[in-house]
Amino acid sequence: MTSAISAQGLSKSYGPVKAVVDVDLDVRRGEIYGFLGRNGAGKTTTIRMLLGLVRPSAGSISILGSSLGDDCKAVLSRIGYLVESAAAYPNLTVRENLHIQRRLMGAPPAAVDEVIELLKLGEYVNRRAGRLSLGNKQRLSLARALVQSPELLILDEPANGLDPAGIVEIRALLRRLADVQGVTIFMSSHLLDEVEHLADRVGIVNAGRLVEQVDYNELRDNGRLAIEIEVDDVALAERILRNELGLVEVSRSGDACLRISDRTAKPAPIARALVGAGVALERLDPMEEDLERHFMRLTGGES
Amino acid sequence: MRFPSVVAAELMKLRRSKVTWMTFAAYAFMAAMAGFFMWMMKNPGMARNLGLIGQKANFAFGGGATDWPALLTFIVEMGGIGGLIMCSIVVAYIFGREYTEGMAKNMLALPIRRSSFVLGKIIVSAAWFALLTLWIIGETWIVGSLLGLTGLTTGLFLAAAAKLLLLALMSFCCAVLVAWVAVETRGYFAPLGFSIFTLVLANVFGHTGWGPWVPWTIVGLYSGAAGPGITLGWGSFAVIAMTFLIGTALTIRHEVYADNVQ
Repeated sequence: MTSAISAQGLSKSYGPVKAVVDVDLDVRRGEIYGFLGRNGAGKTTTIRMLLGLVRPSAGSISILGSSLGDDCKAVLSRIGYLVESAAAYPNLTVRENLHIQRRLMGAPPAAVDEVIELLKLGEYVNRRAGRLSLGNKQRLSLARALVQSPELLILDEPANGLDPAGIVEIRALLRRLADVQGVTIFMSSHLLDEVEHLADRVGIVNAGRLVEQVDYNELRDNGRLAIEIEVDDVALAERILRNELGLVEVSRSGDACLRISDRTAKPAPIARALVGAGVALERLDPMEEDLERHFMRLTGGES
Repeated sequence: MRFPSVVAAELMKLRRSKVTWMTFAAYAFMAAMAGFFMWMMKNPGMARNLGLIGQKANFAFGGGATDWPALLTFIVEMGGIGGLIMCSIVVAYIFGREYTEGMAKNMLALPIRRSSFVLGKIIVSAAWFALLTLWIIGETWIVGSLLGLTGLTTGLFLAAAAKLLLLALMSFCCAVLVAWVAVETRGYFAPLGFSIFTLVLANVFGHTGWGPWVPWTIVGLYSGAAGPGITLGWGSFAVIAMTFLIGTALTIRHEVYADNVQ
C-alpha cells in the first residue's frame, strides 16, 4: 500500500533563512502521525508545502499516491486541513461558514449537519463566527476540515484554544476517525502531551530538519535510559552487577548510588541478585526516557 | 467546475457584511447631499442665512441653474471621482478580507483553480459596483422629482445614466490594480492607501497634457470634473482596458504562484 504522505528532500528557503531542510517524510495510511517541534522549527512551513500553499525550494511530495505537482486539485479534494490558527468569516454564522466550505468542496448538503453534530456545534449554528470563543472557533475549523469526509487530515496544532474537556473530546474523535474510518491524520504540535496521547508515530523536527521518525510504541519500549540504584555496599553491588548479571555499563553516581546504562538491564533480576547476595537495596529507579526527555535530547534542550 | 459555487460563496459573504450596506448608505448620502445643495440653491434666502453652506452649494453647482441638467451634471462629476474611491473600497474589501480575516490560507488550499477565485471576486465586485451605480441613478431620479426640478427629458436622463454606468465601468477597470495591491500586501490598508495615491496622481496629471494617458485621470476627464469640452480618443479607452488586463493578470499571477505565508 502506498503512503498517505511521502516527501523526499523537502526544503524551503526564504532568502538566507532555511525554514525546512531536506525533510524525508513517510506517513502510512490509517495512522496518526505526530509532527513534533518547537515553535519555529518548520512544522507550519512543511504543512503549507503539503497543501500547496508554499512552493518547495527543493524536493518532491506525493499525497495519497499522487504527486502534488501533477494533479494538485484532485489530491486536495481528498484532504481536510487546518492551517496554523482557527479562522472563519466573522460575519457569517457557523452554519454559513460550513455551507460555503461544503459548496466549494462539492460535498452533499447533509454533510454540514453531520459535522455540526460531530463537533458538538449545534448550540452555536446560528451564531456569527466572530462571536465564538477561541475553542469553538477551533471546533468550527475542525468541522470545516471534515465536511467532505477526507481520506487524509492535515492539522496544524488541532488542540489550540480548546479547554481540557475539549482536548479529550477532539482526541477521541481523531482516534475514532483513524480507527473506524481509516482516516490518516497528520498533526503538528508543540504539545508533547497531545502527541503522546494520540500519535502512532512521531516525527521530530528541529531547526527545519526532521531529526527522527519513530514508532511511538517502539520509543516507549526501547526508550529507557538507565536504572539507578541506591545500596549500602556499592562495591559489592557493582561486583554482582558486572560478574553475575554480566552488565557492562555500570557507573557510580554518588556515594551510595550506581547507574546501570545497559539497555538490556531489567529491574527484577537486578533486585533479586542484590537482595540474594545480602545487599540492602534502598532504592531502584528505572529512569525511562519518555517522549519529553527524548524530544528535549533531540532538539538540544537537555545536555 | 465549481465556479458558480465560488461566485455564490462570495455573494453570501457580502450579504452578511456591514461594508456592503455602508457603501449603499454612502451613495445614498451623496445623492441626498446633492439634493440638499440644490434645495438650498432654490431657496437663496435660506442659503444666505446659512452662510458657508450656501456658498458651498453655489460652488458645487457653479452658481448656475437649479434644474435637472444641473443636478445630473453634478451627479455624473461626483460619479467620476466618488466612483473611483468607492470602487477601490469595494475591491480592496473583497480581495483584502481573505487575508485580514485569516481565510486566504483556507481558500487557496481548496481544490479549485486559484484563478477562479480571482475571477469570481472580480465578477462579484463588478456586480456590487454596478448595483451601487444603479442605486445612485435611482436616487437621483427620486431627489430630482422631490425637488420638482424642471428640464427633465427621457433622453437627458438616460444619457446621464449611461455616462454614469460607463464611468463605473472605467472606475472598475482602474480598481482591479487595487485588487493586486490587496493580495500582494495581504489586507485592506495598503490598497486604500494606493487608491488615495492614484487620486493624487489623477489630479497632478489632470493639469498636464498627459491626462488622457493616465487611467485615473481619464476617469476624471470623462466625468467632466476637469471642465466641459474635453473629448477623449480611443487611446484613452485602450489605456483603461489595458489597466484592467494588467491588474487582473498581476492578481492572478500572485494568487497562483506566490507563497502563502499568512
